[in-house]
Amino acid sequence: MTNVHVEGVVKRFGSTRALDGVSFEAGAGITGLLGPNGAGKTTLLRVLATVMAPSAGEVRILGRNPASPRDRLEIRRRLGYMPQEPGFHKNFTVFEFVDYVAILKEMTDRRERHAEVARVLQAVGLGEVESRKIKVLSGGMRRRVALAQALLGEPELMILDEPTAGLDPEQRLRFRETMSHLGEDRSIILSTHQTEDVAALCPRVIVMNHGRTLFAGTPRELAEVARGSVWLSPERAPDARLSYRTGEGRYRNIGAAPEHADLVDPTVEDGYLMLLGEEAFVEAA
Amino acid sequence: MGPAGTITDEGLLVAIGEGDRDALRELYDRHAAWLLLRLRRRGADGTLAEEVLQDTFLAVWRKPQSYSGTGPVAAWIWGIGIRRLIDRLRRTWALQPLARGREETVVSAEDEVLLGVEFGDLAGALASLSPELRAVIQATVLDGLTTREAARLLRIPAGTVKTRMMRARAQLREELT
Amino acid sequence: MTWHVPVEALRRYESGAIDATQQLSIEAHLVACDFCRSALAGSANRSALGRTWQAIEAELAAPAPGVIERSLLAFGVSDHSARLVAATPSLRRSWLLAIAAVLTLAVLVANGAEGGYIFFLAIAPLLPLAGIAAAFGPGIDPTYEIGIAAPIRGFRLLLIRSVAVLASTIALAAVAALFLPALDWRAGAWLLPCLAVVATALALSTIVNPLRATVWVAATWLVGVGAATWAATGEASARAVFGQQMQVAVVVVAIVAGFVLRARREELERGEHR
Repeated sequence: MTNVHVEGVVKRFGSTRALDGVSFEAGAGITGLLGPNGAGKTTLLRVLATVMAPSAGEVRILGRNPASPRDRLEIRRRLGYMPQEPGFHKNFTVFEFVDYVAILKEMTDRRERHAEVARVLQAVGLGEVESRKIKVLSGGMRRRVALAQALLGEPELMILDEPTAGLDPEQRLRFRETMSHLGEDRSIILSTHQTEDVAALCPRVIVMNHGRTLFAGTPRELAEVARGSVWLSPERAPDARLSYRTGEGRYRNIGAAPEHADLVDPTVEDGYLMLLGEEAFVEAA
Repeated sequence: MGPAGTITDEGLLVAIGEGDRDALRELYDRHAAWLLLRLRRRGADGTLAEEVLQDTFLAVWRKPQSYSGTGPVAAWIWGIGIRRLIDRLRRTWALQPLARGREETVVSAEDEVLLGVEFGDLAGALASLSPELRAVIQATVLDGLTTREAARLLRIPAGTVKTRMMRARAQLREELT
Repeated sequence: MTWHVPVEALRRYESGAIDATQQLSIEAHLVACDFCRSALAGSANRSALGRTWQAIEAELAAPAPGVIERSLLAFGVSDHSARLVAATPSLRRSWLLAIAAVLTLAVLVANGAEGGYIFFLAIAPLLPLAGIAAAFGPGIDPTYEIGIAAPIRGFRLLLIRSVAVLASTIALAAVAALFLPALDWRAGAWLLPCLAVVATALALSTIVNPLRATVWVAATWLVGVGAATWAATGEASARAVFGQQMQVAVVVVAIVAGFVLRARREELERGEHR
């Protein structure tokens, strides 16, 4: 079942188009939104989270239309949103903050609310630090607090904006673990500019740049975009679109491969770079 | 009480007064099971019993110093629990609010002896009482409620509680002597 | 304690299949005997006991209500509404101190300068406006975005916080007014303008965002008072500006604003949809 349906969505801020015709669908499970900074990912996610309305285009979330006030409320009741820069009230403890958001989510019964807050904090592994003030926590733990509030009320749809930004590899691994359990029962759309997150977590990927969707499919399919265009060489290849030094000392090149090139299997990252490279190529022309 | 090295309930209360959460956990582990069972026997079903249990231990956490030092800690905990239960049940029955303030409990030295009597004797003696009389004995002697509180719990007038107490005591005295 | 409850009797007590007299006896015994209590601990109620302990821990971690919250609770405000008020940024101590400082300054000006009274009367209504602006708005409410995406009714949140801000600011201003040079009608002439200005800002919040609304209203107020002061001169200036006509006028404005707010309250749910 399709939980998110977006068609031809445009968002204008003054004269700039942050979204310039975005179309995709997302169902159950985790969908990754991949793109560089400024691609429009945050804007798109805010539209999906009913925080802002598109300038044009059709949006349907959980089968409802966010432009209608009643539908919008129903969407919000089933939604969990983790913004890119979640702000916290200065002196709140972890529990206090999540409890506050729970009140915003209409959980009026005190006992049930506190039980739910305790549950989501356990789910993200913050059970031990409930009473600690947020301002003394590390960045990784703060992210987990932000993730916890998005879990309140067991939402059908979760929208996470750059949830892994600033996390070290160990934290990122733990995050992926938490996510993979959650993705089983609901739709999750998360944005990232790290291809490893996508490769490890998302059965579906959407690549965006300049407010447009460049690709929608599986990570494997994304990798295949670069099939035949990735090769290794001992020296930097001058006419490759992209050429960079790998850990082993050789150069990995992406672009039109010359004859007798040492072709390698493309990774998701290669596919991604290939897509972005096309865009850059078009711009330069 | 307890083997050497184990802290007493009173000691746990002191630690709780100093904010020791592990002490509360220990006290909970010792007393929550019987408290839950006993609350259920007093008419608390399903989640109500659990909520009263929760509120009881929160009250213990917040005011451990209200334990006066007389009688076992378990009895004090029970006093908190049963009163909390009556409050909750009262709301569903829409009765009048319980008056705050000290009231004499009806337990006398004689009743203490009754409690001290072993299983066999008491069982026989109590068995001879009618259920209504037994309920009154349970509420006043066992649960430590005042006449008015017992009246609230049993939903009978306070005067009836008093007369039933007198009849029950008389009957038990006869049986046991 | 030499006598203990026989195991099978204990099991019968746990399962409820025990007669009333034995129950009384067991219960009386349990109060005094730790050994039999711990024999109970391995009972079928394990999940209920675990659940309840978690609920206790959750309560212990829950925020302890501060002064403001406790007074609200004492007045019968629901605990979740009280929490919303307590979490309002402009009810923090630092903010209230800032308001107090401004009021002190205004009182000093009123006592010192010629025509300084007008300064106080002009400043006072701006304070709750500042408080409301501080309670909302993207730059200031840290949970702004999460709040928009949440199902809470924007109208309710706005109202709760605005009333809280208004009440606390009026209380502070009333105290400050006691130190004004002449305790005549002028010492209270700021009150109705306060209400009118807040009502207008709230009504305007249904059209533009709260931050912008409060700024516009504040600017309009200052311009209006400034112009009126400049037009009226001399001893009677305070009376001319803040006198009966003005008071009536602001009451009318407040009532109109109230109606507008009520009629357009659905607009507050839209987030940035407008």
